[in-house]
Amino acid sequence: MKRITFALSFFGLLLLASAADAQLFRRRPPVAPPPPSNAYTKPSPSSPTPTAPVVGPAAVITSSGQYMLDVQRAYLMQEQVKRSKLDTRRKAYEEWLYERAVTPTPEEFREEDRQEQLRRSQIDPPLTEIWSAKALNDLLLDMQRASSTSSYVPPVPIDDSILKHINVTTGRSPGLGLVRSADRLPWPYVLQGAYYQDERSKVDKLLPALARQAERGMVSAVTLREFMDAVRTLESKLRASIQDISSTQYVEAKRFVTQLHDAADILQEPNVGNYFTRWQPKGNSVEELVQFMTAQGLKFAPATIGDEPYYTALHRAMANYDIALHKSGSRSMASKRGSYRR
Amino acid sequence: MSRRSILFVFFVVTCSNVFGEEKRVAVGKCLSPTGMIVRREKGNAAWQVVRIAEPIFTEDLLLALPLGVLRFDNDMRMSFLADMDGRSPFPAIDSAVRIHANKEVDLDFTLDRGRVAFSNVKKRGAAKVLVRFHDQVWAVNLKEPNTRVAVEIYGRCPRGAIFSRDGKNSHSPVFDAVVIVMTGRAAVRIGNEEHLLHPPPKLCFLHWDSIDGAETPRRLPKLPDWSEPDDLGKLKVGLKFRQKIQRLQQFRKLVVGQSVSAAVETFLESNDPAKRRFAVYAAAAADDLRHLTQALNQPKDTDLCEDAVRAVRHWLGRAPGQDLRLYRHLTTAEKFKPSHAETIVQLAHSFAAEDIRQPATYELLTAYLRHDVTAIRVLAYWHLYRLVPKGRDIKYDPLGDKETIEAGYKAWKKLIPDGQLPPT
Repeated sequence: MKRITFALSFFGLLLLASAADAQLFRRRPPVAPPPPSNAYTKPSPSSPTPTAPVVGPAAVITSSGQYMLDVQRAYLMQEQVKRSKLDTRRKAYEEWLYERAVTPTPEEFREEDRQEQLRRSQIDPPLTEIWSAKALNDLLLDMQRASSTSSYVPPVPIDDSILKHINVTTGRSPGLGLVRSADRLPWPYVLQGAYYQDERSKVDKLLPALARQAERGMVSAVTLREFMDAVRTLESKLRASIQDISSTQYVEAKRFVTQLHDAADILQEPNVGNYFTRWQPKGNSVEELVQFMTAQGLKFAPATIGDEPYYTALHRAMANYDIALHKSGSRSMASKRGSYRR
Repeated sequence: MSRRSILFVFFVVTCSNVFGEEKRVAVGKCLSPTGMIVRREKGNAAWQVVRIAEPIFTEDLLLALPLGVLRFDNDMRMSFLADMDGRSPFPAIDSAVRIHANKEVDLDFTLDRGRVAFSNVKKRGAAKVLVRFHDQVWAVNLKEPNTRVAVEIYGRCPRGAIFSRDGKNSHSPVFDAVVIVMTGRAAVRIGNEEHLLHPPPKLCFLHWDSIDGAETPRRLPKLPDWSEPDDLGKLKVGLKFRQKIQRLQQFRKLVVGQSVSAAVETFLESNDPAKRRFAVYAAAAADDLRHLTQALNQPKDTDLCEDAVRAVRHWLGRAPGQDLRLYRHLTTAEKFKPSHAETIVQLAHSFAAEDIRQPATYELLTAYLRHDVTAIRVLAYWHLYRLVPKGRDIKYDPLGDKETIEAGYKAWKKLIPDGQLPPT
């Protein structure tokens, strides 16, 4: 009887604590961590982070209720920190620091970025990171690591039409890229001008021929050299006209020329034919795709101009699967801990 | 006149009164010396000097160059606290407000940019204020007489923003705002949350940005350095301050005697670097794009380049669509080629994180170091200085002669060869 009374009292207090908790969050937001950069409020020992006073029924909280509060606060703080970290670089204050030349060096920036790259790749990476395949490779690596510890995760299907537009690489070259779309090259506006007519015609004629040769596994050195000469001349002409076109146009055209160079690189690989056969991305689901990439030792390569939407779609599917993988992995870790305690 | 005509005219007049623009109503007066504040009526591009004791009207854009004081009829007071010297943690370089007629509150205004402080100078009782900026409307209750609250905002275009000539896919700047209670007690209501603030060292500081919203209020050990008294005569009398006051007075006299544009031009031509610097920010504050562009494209010295770029970026961050305004000015008024104008506007933004990892970005910037257009050279060097600290020792002057520029370009090219990232 005493035990029943005690249990009823205990659960009653827990319920009270939950109600108080709900009231607390309705009335006041949780304490946020200090902002990552705020010139007004540098932290000091004499001015610890203030908190709003707790009033009303929340004062009557047992230790168990306090634990639940703390867990929820920690979770919310984590979410806020996550969000604030993601968005820090897009804030006005960052631009103000850049103007005053007090930002980290590019190397410090890259190092900092590597440390949070997975979180960014999962939640809301910039499109440029998806299209450069960075976000996809971050997720791929994470999934390859996580697969050994996770329990069952529902499959996330991938449309076959998406994988046809995804480039992969062994790491030696940037993938098929423009070789895949040799018959209908997406020439940027600037390079469609009459000034580039000769080189454009040569590339339009030579690249499809090289693609067909690569498929058969026999690329002609003469044709390839002719193609590379045309690309170099194209690049020289582009550089020479840098003063006459806008920076945006130049960057777009330069990116295309770089992809033509990448095409030349991959055509020189002895196993280039594999990109059309064995190394063509396969899988009906994200899990199958990851297994395929792992078995073949492949990574994702940057998107060819025009294939960006397929990369965005694939990223979404992979991010959803990776998040589910983590959740199932944490549950399986928790159950392991529980069994250890028993 | 037929009855129908009379009714029609009556209908039109009533509609225009009900649905038309707000009328200009006098709500207070200027306490600052003549010319410290200028105003611009809605739909009018010209700035007019506000004289001491002159009435202040609603819906006029009031710009302080850079300080000013207003007194309102219902015992409210407002000070402009712009900071052209860069002492503030945030760039509150110029300050401008628009007052609104509102019988529900003691003061209703839009903070267009910069920093103002408003005070409850009633003999007794609280004062209600509505502060508007960006898409925000904050209700501030100054709980007791002599409560003084400062609010400041600034904006910047986010990194990686891409400018488009047709204005499509235009980005909005991101904004930061700060509220500080300087004296008294004030309750700041933002949406469903209300924060009670006191002066330092208590909870007095509230920070908001357009990405994460408002943070929890924080303490400051003391008031910031910029919280000077309103009266210029009471300012500290160190040499630098005296010189600053002299400059302000000279500028003010030129504004009163001639115009804001003439004052800017005179100061830009001056041999005093401090005056030239002041003029650049004043040009941006007054939307004087002609002189702002001149400072960027024909600066008198290299030091001015830094301020010109910063002033342009500050101006671009004020509101959406500023980049398109600048582009149109460059092409129509300044006769830049469209491609050059587009490049200038684009380079006034920062590069995206992904761009910083690309060798092509540095190839582009180094190539621009010897561009024919000075503004492009200035902007390219401005970015390289920040992105490649190891290149800061290279002797390059965007305003130098052809040989100097070529030598600097070659040195940068040696540091960052084509196809490579800068050394770390």
